[in-house]
Amino acid sequence: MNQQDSSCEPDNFRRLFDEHSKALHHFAYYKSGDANQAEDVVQESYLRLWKNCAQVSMEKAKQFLFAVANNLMLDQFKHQKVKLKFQSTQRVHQNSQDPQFLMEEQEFKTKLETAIAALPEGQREVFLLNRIDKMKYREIAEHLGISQKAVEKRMHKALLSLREQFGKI
Amino acid sequence: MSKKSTDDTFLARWLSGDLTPEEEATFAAREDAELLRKIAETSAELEPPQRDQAASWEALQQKVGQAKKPARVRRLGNWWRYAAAAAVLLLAVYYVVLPDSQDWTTISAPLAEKTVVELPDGSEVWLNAGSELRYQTGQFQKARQVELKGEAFFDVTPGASFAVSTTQGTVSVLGTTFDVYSRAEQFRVACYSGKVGVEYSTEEPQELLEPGQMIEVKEDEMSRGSIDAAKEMPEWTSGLSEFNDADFTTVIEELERQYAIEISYPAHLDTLRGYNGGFPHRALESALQVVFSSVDCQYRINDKVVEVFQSTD
Repeated sequence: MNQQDSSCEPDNFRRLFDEHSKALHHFAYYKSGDANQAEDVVQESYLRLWKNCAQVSMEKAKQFLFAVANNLMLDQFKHQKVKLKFQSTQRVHQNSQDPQFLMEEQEFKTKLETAIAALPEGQREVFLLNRIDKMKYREIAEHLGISQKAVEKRMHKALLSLREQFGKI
Repeated sequence: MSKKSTDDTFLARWLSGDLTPEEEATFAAREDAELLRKIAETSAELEPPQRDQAASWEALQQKVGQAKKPARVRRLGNWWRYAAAAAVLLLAVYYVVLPDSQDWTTISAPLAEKTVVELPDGSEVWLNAGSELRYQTGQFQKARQVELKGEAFFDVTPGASFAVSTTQGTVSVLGTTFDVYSRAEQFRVACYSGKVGVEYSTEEPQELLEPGQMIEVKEDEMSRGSIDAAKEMPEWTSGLSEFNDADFTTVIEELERQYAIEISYPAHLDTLRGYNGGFPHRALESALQVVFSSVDCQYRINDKVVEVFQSTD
């Protein structure tokens, strides 16, 4: 591996952190629902990348990070009931400042958050990585070490379950 | 309804805009089309909790720095700090540090002896009788990695990752206390504090242990179990070997290591399973008594050889 391609180079390592640590944090958060634990996972994943940097090219680094994070969380959070919290983003709706409408929007959002938290972990991570982090199915598949078809199936199921949940809530 | 509309990736393809025009029409005709659109749209606006990326980078730099920091090589120092924790323990401390030709530092506990050693980073290791620990003298500063044969209890100084490799798997931690047993076909790791990661096969994901948890790998099968979470250290460090559902041969081999003896015994003992109990390390007679009376056997001690035979009434 030449120097330019090595994640051992301080500049490269920094770049990998800047580019991927947010998505990695999100990923860990989607799985655990705990922002602090997610941060621990981020730290540990990058530390392992640094220690294995001689074997991990820049190209493979993101996949490596997600694989490590995934492993770290395999058992850690299995029996934990996930409670996801999202920030309340005050979006200004240009065409409708109607308070009734805003309230309904807020209510819908709250219901959606509850429904997402209730999704099985596999569906939830796929769904949120796509919706929030705008990852393509192919990319998610690489990060999770599963086939693209499996990602699409999870996505399909996630949408079906979310829709079902709306009936229930 | 077209066949496609009910397949198991239909909604995924809808979301990524990969439906054919016909499929789009099928979607539009669904009762839940509006709800699904709204779910897709609203979920894209959700924002996970913010995090301080600069602080995160700083924290990471510290850990990276710690892992790089050259460690001092210290001789076995204040093992006596443990004296209180193990008041009962009459620990024979045997200590060897021999940098060999490959620049490995090897520490061993010979038969019938235990060894306590302090590693360059301040971590302490208790080696049970008949065990060996080694690490690359120059490399340890860069990455805390040691190799273990036998059994050892680790009290790892918090810092960068600390890895223990055995022929049967690798244990990695940050700063914790844990016990590793790796002999013959058995691999066992117990976590006493902190978090411990265990890799025992390239095909299996890493197993994570919390305090009070253990895993055992025997004949390629992994099983999880628990240890007494109230204990700070394994019993053997205070001079008592304990067994839980063990093969009888495992017990006999441990007797041989703890007393530097050889035991000859009736062949049928080889097949005994599920032994529960323990024996002391400093009282050969009572150790033999407690172990072999449980299987209706008597023994004869002949210097370093012990002969075990079936009791006759």
